[in-house]
Amino acid sequence: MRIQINICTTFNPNYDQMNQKLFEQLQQDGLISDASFANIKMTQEHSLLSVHREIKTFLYLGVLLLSGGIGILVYKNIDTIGHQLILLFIALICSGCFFYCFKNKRAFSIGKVIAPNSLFDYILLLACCTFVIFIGYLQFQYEVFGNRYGLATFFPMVVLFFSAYYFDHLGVLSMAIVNLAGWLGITVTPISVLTANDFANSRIIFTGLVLGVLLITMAWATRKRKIKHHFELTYANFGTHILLISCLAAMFHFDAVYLIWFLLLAALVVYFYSKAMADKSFYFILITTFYAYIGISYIVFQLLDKMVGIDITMLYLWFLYFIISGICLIVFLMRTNKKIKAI
Amino acid sequence: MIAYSPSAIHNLFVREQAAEALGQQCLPQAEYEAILTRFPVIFYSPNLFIRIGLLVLTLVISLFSFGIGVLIFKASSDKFLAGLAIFFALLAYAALEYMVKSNKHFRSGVDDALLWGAAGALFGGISYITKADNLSNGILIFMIALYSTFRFADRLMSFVAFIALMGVVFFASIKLSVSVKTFLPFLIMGVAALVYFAVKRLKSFTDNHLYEQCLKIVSIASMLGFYAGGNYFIVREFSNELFNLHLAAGDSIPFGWLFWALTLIIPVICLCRGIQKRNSVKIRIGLLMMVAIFFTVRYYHTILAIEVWMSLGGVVLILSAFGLTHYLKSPKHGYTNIDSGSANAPAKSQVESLIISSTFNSQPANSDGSKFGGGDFGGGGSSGEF
Repeated sequence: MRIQINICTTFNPNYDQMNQKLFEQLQQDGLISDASFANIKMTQEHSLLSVHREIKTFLYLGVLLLSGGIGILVYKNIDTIGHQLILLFIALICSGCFFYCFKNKRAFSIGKVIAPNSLFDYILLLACCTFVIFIGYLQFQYEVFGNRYGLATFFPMVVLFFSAYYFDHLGVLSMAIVNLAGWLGITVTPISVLTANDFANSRIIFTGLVLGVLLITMAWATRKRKIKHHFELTYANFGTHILLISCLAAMFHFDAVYLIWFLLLAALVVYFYSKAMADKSFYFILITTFYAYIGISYIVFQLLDKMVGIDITMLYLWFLYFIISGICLIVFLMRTNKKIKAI
Repeated sequence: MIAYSPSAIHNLFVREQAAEALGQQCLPQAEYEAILTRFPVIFYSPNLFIRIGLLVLTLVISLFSFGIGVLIFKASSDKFLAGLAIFFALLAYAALEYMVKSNKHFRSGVDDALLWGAAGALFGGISYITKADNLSNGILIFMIALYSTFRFADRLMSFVAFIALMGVVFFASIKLSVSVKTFLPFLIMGVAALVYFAVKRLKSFTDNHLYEQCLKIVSIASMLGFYAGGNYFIVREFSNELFNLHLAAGDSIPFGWLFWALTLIIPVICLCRGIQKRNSVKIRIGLLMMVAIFFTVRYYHTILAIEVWMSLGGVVLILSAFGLTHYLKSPKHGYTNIDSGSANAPAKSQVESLIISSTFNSQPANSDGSKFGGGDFGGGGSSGEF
C-alpha cells in the first residue's frame, strides 16, 4: 500500500477548485471535448462546499476532550464523589457507545467494512477510551485483578483487539497494539517510543525484538490470510519501527558483540527494503534507509575509534564521513525514487 | 524574478486541475491522458517521503561541510565564524540556483534544505557581525524571506516574510515614539488589514499559481495577525511586558472594553462571513479564533475547572457534529457532508490511526512499566492467539 499525502489539499482548502478559464482554454485547444467542458462547468456552478473534514475534526476533538476531561474528573474527585457514582457514569457512557456500535454496525466480514456513518468511528473510539478508563479505575480502586497487574492490561487489550477487528477500526487497532506493548512492558506510541523506554535495559531490548517480530508476523499473516488486509500497514509500521529500534539498541548495548547485531540489522533492512520495493512504499524505504544509516554510522564510528583514536584527525574523518555518506544516500534515495516510479 | 520557467509552472497547474476534474468524474480518462502528454513536467519533485529524506540529508551534509570549514580555518573568533556562515550561505545559495536551473529541482527536499540553510546562515552571520537589534533583525529577515518568496515561491517563506513585516512595524513604532503605545494594537491591525486587501488585489495581477499559493498563505496569516492585534490577552500581556505597566492581576488596560469587544466580535464576523460566502478558509480561521476566545476569557475569569470545560466542550463538539451530520444528510444551502478527498483516504486513515494511538491514553492508569519488573508477564499471555 502506498502512503501519499497531498500537502496542497490538506493545507489549502480551496485548492481543489477547478479553474474555469483554464478549461475553456483547453476546450479551445481541442484537448477536452465540449461534453467534458459542459460537465466541468456544471459541476463548478453547482459545486457544494464539503464540511466533511470540519465535522470529523469536531468529532475527533470532541472525543479527545470528553475522554480526557472524564479522565481528569475521575482522578481529581476520586475521594469526594462516590466511587460507584463515577464508575456508573463511565460505565453508562461506555455501554451506551458500545450499544450504539452494536446496533448500527454493518455485518462482519474478513474484508474491509466501511463504517455505516461518519459518527460511528468516533463513537467506537469513545467507547474504547471510556472502557480503558473504566478498567483502570476498577483496578485502582478495588484491585479487581489483585496483584496480577498484567491482567489489568491484558483484559482491555483483548477488548480493544476484538473491537478493532469486529467493528473494523484502524485507530482502535493502533490503541490495541500500544496496549499489547504496554502489557509486555514497553511504550510504543510514536511520540514517546524513544523517550519513555530505557533501552539500556536488556529486558526491554529483548521484549522489543519479540514484539517487533510478533507484529511483523501479524502483518505477514494479515496479508497472507486476507483477514482485514488493510490492517497490514498498521502492524507493519509499528513492527518495523520497534524491531529496528530494538536491534539498534541491542547493537549499542551489547557492544562487545555489536557485529552480530549489525548482521541481524542488515538482514532485517534487506528484508524490509525488498518488501518496501515490492509494495512501492516510499515511507518504508525512507525509514529502513535511516535505521540502516544509523547502524552503519555506528560501525564506522567504532572502526574510526579503534584505528585513529580520539583526536582532531578523527573529527575530520568523522565530518568527511557524514558528507560523503550523505551524498551517497541522496543519490541512493533519488535512484530508488526513480526505480519505484518506473515499476 | 521567479527561478522556474512560467510555462513549466503552468503545465504543473494544468495537470493538477486535470487530475481534479478526473477525480470529480468530469473528464474521461483518455482526455486526461491527452492533457498529461500535452503538458509534460520537467521538474524533479520526488515523493513526499523521499523529499523528507533528501531534506534531512542535505541539511546533514551542509552542517558537516560547515564543520569541516570551521576545522580547516581553525575559526576561533566568533566574528570569523559569522563570516564563515555568510560564506557558506552564499555557497549554499549557489548550489540551490544550480540545482534549480540545471537539475530542475522543485520542492525536492534538496532545494528546500539549501534555501532554508542559506537563509538561516545568511541571517545569522549578518545579524551577528552587525550586532543587529530587534528592528534591524526584523528588516533583515523580511528582506531575505521576501526575496526567497519571489525567487522560489516558497510558501513558508511568504509566511515568515509576513511575520517579519509585523515585527518591523512593531519595533519601528516602539522606537519612533513612546506615545505610540496606545495605538500600537490598532497599527498592527491596520497593517494586517492593509496586507489582506493588498493580497486580494495582487491575486488578480498574477497568473502564476505558485505565487497564488503564497498569497493565500499570506492572506491567512494577515487574518490571524489582524485578530492577534486586537485580542485582549495579547494586547494586555504584551503591553504589560514591554511598557512596564505593572498591572496587577485584576487590572485592565486603557480601552480594555474595546479589546474585549474585538476579541469577541472578530471571530463571529469571520465565521459568519465564511459561512455566508461558503469560504472554507474563513470558516476554519473563524473556528480557530473561537477557540482563542475561549482561552482568552478563561485566562482572566476562572469559572469551572478545566476538566469540566473539556468534558462540556467535548459534548458540545460531538453534539454539534451529530447535528450537522443529521442536517446535511442531503445537501443544503450549498453545503454537503460528502468526503471530497477520497483519493488519499487509505493514507489519511493510517495517519489518523497513528494520531489516535499517540493522543489517547489507551492504557489503564496503573500499567506503567515499573509494575512489570522481574519478568512477570501476567496472566495467560498467549501470543499464539494472534
